[in-house]
Amino acid sequence: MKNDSVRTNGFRLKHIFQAQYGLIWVALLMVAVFAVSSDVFRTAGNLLEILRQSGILAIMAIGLTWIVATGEIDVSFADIAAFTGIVTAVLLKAGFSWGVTFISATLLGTVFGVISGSLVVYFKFPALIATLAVSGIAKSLASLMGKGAVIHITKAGGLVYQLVYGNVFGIPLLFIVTLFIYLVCRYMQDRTTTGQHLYALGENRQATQEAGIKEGKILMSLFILSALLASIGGILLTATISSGNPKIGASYFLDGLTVVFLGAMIIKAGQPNVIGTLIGVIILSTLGNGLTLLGEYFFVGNIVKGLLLVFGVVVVTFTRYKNRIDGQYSVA
Amino acid sequence: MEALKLKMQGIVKEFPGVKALDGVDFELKPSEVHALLGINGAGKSTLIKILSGVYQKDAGSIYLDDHRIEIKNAQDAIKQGIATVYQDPQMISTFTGYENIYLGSESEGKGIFSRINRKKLQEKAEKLLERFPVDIDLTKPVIELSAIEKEIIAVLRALSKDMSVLVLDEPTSILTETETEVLFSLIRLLKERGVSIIYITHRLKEIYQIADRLTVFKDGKNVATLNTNDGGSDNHMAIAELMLGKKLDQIYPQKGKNPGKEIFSVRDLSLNGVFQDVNFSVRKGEIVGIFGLVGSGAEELSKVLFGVIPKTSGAFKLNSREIRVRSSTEAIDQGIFLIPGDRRQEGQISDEPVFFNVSLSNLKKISGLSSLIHRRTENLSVQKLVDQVKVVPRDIHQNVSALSGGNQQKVVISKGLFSDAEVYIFAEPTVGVDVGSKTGIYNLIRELSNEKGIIIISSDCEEVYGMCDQAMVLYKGAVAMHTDVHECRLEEMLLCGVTGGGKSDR
Amino acid sequence: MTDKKRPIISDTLKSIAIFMMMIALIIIVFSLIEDKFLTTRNLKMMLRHMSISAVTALGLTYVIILGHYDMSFYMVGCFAAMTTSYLNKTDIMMDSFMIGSIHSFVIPAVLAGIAVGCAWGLISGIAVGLFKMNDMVTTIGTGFIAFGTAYLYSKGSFIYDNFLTSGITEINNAQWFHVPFPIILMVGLYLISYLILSRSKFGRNFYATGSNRIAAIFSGVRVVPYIIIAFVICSGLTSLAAIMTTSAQGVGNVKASINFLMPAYAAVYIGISVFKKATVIGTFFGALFTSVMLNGFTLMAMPFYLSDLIIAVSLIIAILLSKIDWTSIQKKNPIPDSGTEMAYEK
Repeated sequence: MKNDSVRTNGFRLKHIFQAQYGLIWVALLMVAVFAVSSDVFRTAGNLLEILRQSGILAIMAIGLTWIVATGEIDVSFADIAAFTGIVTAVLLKAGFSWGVTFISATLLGTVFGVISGSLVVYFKFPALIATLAVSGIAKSLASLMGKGAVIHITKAGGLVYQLVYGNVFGIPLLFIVTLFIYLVCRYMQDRTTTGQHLYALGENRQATQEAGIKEGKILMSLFILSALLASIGGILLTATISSGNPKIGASYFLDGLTVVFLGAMIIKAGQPNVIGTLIGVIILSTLGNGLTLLGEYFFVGNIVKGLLLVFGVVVVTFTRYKNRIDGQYSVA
Repeated sequence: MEALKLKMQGIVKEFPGVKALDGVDFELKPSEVHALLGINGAGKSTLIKILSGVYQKDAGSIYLDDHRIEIKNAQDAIKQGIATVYQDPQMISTFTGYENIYLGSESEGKGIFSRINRKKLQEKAEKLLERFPVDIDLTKPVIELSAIEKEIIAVLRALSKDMSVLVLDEPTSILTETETEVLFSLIRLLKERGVSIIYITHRLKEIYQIADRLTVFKDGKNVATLNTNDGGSDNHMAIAELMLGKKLDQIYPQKGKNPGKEIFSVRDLSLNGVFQDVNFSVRKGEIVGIFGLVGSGAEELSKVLFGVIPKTSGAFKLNSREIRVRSSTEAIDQGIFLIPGDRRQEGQISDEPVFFNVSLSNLKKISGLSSLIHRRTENLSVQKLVDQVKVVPRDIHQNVSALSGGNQQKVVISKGLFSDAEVYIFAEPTVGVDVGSKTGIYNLIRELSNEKGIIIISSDCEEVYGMCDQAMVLYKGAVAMHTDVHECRLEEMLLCGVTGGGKSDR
Repeated sequence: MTDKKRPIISDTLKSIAIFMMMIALIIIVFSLIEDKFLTTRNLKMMLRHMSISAVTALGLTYVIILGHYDMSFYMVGCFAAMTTSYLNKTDIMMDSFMIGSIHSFVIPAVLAGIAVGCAWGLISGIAVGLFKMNDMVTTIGTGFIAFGTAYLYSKGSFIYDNFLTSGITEINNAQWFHVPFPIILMVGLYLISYLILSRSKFGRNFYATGSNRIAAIFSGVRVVPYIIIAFVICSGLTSLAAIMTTSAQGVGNVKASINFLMPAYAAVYIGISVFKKATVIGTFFGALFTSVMLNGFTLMAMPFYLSDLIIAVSLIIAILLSKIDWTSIQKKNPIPDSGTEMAYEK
């Protein structure tokens, strides 16, 4: 669509064209390898499972997508999810209903976002330090509530069961819910002022300030939003695995960052965006699923994800370099 | 009496140590293009900054459409209908033209999640183009646009806010000839539509092409306002004289008498797209000056000479030996030092003390085999230099940020001296330096020239004329004049810098 | 120009004084609550544990001085620890001889571990310094690659072989003049780093690059090599710390240094809040502070998983405190910023 900026139409810049398509070829190749090597992989059931599992990571990573687009970082989202997961388990075990649990856990998790946002915006902490500290607090509190152990709950019944395990016309409901959330977020990203301004902020802080846009408001909203969505992700995870695990932080952390950068490569010419993140999640989940089925050791995942992440950063760096106004010589 | 669009009366603006505007009057008629002309420090930029809300005036009054107004800050200026477009306007390169035009005002709503209707924005932009028809594709991302197109976007952005007064600050410094023509047609269009334009430039030819009137600034005062239809290039010299005036309140040290042997020479130096074929040589006892205004390539030349920007072609010779200058480290090793034009960003490390700044250029001089710094030696040698150049206060342990501009510059010069260089390049040596310190610095430079090679690159032609024995004028990247300073008049030099000496340019 | 000498010096001294008082206060409180706190035995143990986090934080200091971040070091350490453990286990015992109470092959094993750690640091350093890639995310990537690769040594299981016999535990157990070796390592490395960063020409270049990179370039400093070296040192020192931990635990564990991230940043940033910039001494104080806190709480039977909480809260409080302008009088009469408003533009 010629109306859209480079963000929604990544085909203009040639080198991104290559990287973008390169990744898709790699993904297709990967799928082909898995499909050939594993019978289970090929089944519709398995593919649907991939979609189902994608949902949680996808929801957790939305906030991170925008924060990275702004040029900041949030390393706490995964630990906030762990925290809300435990809170969910604790509340359920104490007899509260899912409704109450959901709201309470979400609220508590969002508090972390308020803390991070305040530290960064009002107290001028570097985002890394602020979110690092918050993640430590969240992780510790999560462990505290379960005395360091995993808390098991009875498998969810009724509505929640449907949400987590049910299918609608064969497609996992969880994934549909995720898609819905993504469409809402995509709307926010592309059709609201905040979405527009956060990209402006990430690209040229000075121009954004000169335009009178208040960056503090934007950053604060993003940190809160990230915590909110991460909280929801954590609650859904607990529902899915029927337990609260305080240690999930590390793995979801790497996954989240990787999908954001993969997504940045794919659609918006090197800028993080939600649809790209969703695609990144699906690619990553496929990868994880395939590797598991092939009996590959779990740690290979770390290596592969790390490589993907670095690759994503290389591409994004290269894009940013190209986006600087050409014809100007700079010193450093 | 014709109604005036804008009237500024008795504007005074002082900074510590200097009176930038000394009771300035300025008038702008409706739908006119009024050019502002003046050398460095004459006050034109300060006046504009007051108008755009960046500075606050100390005294005087401003009338817009005969109403007295106060401009408290940048947002205020915009609310009043005064927009300013600076050189190289800041934009979001991945956004389209229309997105940049409406950045910050995309929707009516105030909330965080106010809707943006891109189609509507586009239509708005199209309507804007109907009022100001320019050939530009607003749906292309700004990064794909040329320099003139980016300027047009910046102007459109101003226009979208219903401006009645538009200030253009050196708009053509980054434009080619053809692009300048495009800008001019836009300006004529704006005139027709009732916009009043203040156009700051140093390029006399352009003023006569596009402006209705021009005002010359000198020493913080409005010296003359002329109509541009009174004769053509005969007037240029008269205007140059107006800009410079007869009194030289800056006393420059005596010039060199007997230049000695050649210390440093530059042959066929070029930087693609910025400047080409620069040739000169510096001898002991003489100072070589290069006068170039904004967009002439002078600033980049200073950096190329120091190795901080790699040259496209050319050769350097130091003491008859060909040398390579591929980095600042190599330059210093070879014996070349640059006192850079942007002191805060490039010249000094503000949060560190004086001694830290000074010794940085030659740490091996004060550290032995162990690489540990001999503090006593450092203190002694730095203090010696600092006293030699007369930094006040002379405490070398205070932070550089605490010093006045002139003293900060002396610290940077000390850093150069500490490196025991053979060739010193001064870029804009007295920008941000109070009048009192200027003399000191000039004397320093002249003394230094007795033993070392000195090059001064400046946009202040008085300075180049007053200080240098040999002078070159850069205009749009080409050497427009290369002469012995005795053999030319100051006005001729200035004229060359503002017109290119009549040569056709790129 | 007003006399600017006195505020800056006394500002830092004030911070130091406040900080020392806080540490003293904490020590007093702990010793009152737990009488075991002030015993030689406990202090020795505390200093031992401190050595490990302090050495890591020291490495990180180099990177922070430059204005960069490293998120890989704690994972690179794991790789280094496993490398050493693996080399320690392999049967080179045939040709070994004894050096004191350790077999000779222990030394190359340890050195190899540090070397591979440095190699990872080199990769990160080149990516960030030469290719200008984003430091945070790139190092997260390289870190996880290193961590994943660490699993290759033993598929993630512990390595026990030769630990008790090779003498590798001597790194932790040896005592020189009654001082445990890890503490000697820590003190030695801090002294060397102090000399480098605060007393040598390299240190000047480091700080110059971190304070104003462009001005440093204009002063002839080669910034890219310094960036690379900083990352190498960070990963290298952390690798050493990871090996020290491995020696202390007596087993090769792939998660050896996985918890080193938070304490390292806390130590450096607590140091910054006292000294206004990253320094060797500041980091030492920061590490001391966090170690005292952890030690005290551990004595009070605080569960291990709360350690991050303690450290995180300490970090936040320290930074918040530092941002309070103790000399608030200064703020009411801001000195005009010389050098900007004076500039007459062209």
